[in-house]
Amino acid sequence: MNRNMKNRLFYISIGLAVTICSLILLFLFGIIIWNGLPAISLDFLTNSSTNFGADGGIVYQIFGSILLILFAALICLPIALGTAIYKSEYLKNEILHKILNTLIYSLNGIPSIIFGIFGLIFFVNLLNMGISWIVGSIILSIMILPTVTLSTYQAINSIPTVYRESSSALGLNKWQVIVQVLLPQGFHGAVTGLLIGIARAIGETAPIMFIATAFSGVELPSSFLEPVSTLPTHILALAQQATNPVALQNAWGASLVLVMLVIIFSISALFIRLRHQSISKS
Amino acid sequence: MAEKALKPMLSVVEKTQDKIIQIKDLQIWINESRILNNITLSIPKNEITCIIGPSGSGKSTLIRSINRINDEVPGISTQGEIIFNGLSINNKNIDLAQLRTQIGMVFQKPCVFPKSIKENVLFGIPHLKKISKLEKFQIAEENLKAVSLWKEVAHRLHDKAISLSLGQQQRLCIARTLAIKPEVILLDEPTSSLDPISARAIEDMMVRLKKKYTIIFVTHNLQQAKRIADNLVFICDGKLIEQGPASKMLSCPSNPETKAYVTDEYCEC
Repeated sequence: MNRNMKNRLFYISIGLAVTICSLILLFLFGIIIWNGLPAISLDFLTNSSTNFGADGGIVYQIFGSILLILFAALICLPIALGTAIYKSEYLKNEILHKILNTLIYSLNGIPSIIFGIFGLIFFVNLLNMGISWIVGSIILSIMILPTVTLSTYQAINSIPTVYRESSSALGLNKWQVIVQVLLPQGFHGAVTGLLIGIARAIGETAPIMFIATAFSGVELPSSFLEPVSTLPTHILALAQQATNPVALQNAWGASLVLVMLVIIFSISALFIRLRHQSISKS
Repeated sequence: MAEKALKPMLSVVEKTQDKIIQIKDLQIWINESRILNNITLSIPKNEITCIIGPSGSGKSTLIRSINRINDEVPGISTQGEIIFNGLSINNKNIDLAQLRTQIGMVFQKPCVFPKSIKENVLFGIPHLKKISKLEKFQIAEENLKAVSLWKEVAHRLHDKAISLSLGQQQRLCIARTLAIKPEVILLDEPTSSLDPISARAIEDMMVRLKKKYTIIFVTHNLQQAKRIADNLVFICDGKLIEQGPASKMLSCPSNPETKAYVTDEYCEC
């Protein structure tokens, strides 16, 4: 085989890899849209479910999912910002830096079902909070914490030192430098990380299924300590009734709505990142 | 007779009072390597002192230790004393923010904040919320005029500062430093990333500004130092080789190494 042939073979094989990768995604989307679209209607999106979820709409599931991730984001953001600022601006010791990195990556590597069990033992039983959506938000916020922390850290840490020096040289204290110079320029990193994090969190089933959700008979919660119904747990419940064609179609419809929500968060994250890149380049 | 003997002594006393900054036996290490070695020098008030020397000689480290912006550099340790207006600035308890409003600094690369031109001028002013709109405008006008930028930007004060040219940005950085009313301005090779015309504009500005401020100017451009310096400090390999009035150091330097540097820009140390 001469060099030209090798070159072509290499090109063909990487082309093949890209094609397979794109096809898998297109295939998945295709199936979800093909099966889910017939289920989607205004009634489906605005009505509550009946007959243990097999009939009716998914409005409370959509509401429950958004409520969970909204509070997860609110709980996560201050902790992630604080950790990122400390790691970037205050932590000088190399060894402590490595330890903190290891901790953050380990937290990211913990399987989601473990978070669920931890939530059940610690919050639901030990703290006696019962099955409640706020416990679900707390657990999801812990799950997305590494993503948001690292994204914020990278955004803050990549701000050139000359910005820190120029503002300190004007007589600003360290916290003023952080609040007035670093945070405004690094905040996009926190928002990007948050959107990527909640795009992942909204689809999670395992960590919330025994601590925050009920499978049927749930409406709007009137306090922090009530269960909600969410899209992924609803899909799980419907998939278990696969012999009922209406339930199955509703499962496809709910899947499509969930995928659309994930795509919205991911694309917003992409846009914020692109917009900031163009600002920092100009 | 007694009066005649007293006069030179009085002038010596006056001279030391005119020195706004005195550096005594300054030594700086970064990790294991010694960057500055027993530097002792003094900076006269309301004059331009140029620090010259080849690259890597420690000029920047020296100027950056005068407002202690070096403190944040990892692995740095400092010995010796820097006295500003009679007070040692190496004291651990000193209010650094206060010190830096008295000793302002302009860096090599213009660094404007992602805000408007006007907000950039006002950036270092404390308690900005308590200042009226009119006063803010006056501060912006006064300082932009001082750096000859007013005519160019008066009609677009609310534009992003990043839209200015590099030379204009550097003048904006100087205006921002002037706005906090320092006594001393440190400039660390402020023209090295600018075009020659912008560089000359900044040189002319320094000559104008020295009536009000003491200026310490680091440059590796000997021609520039010849144009603006009242005093020269020649540093090579972390050691102070010679310091004195620019006219004397350029025409008849007492040290052969200085002579080699000011004539051929060559240094053997």
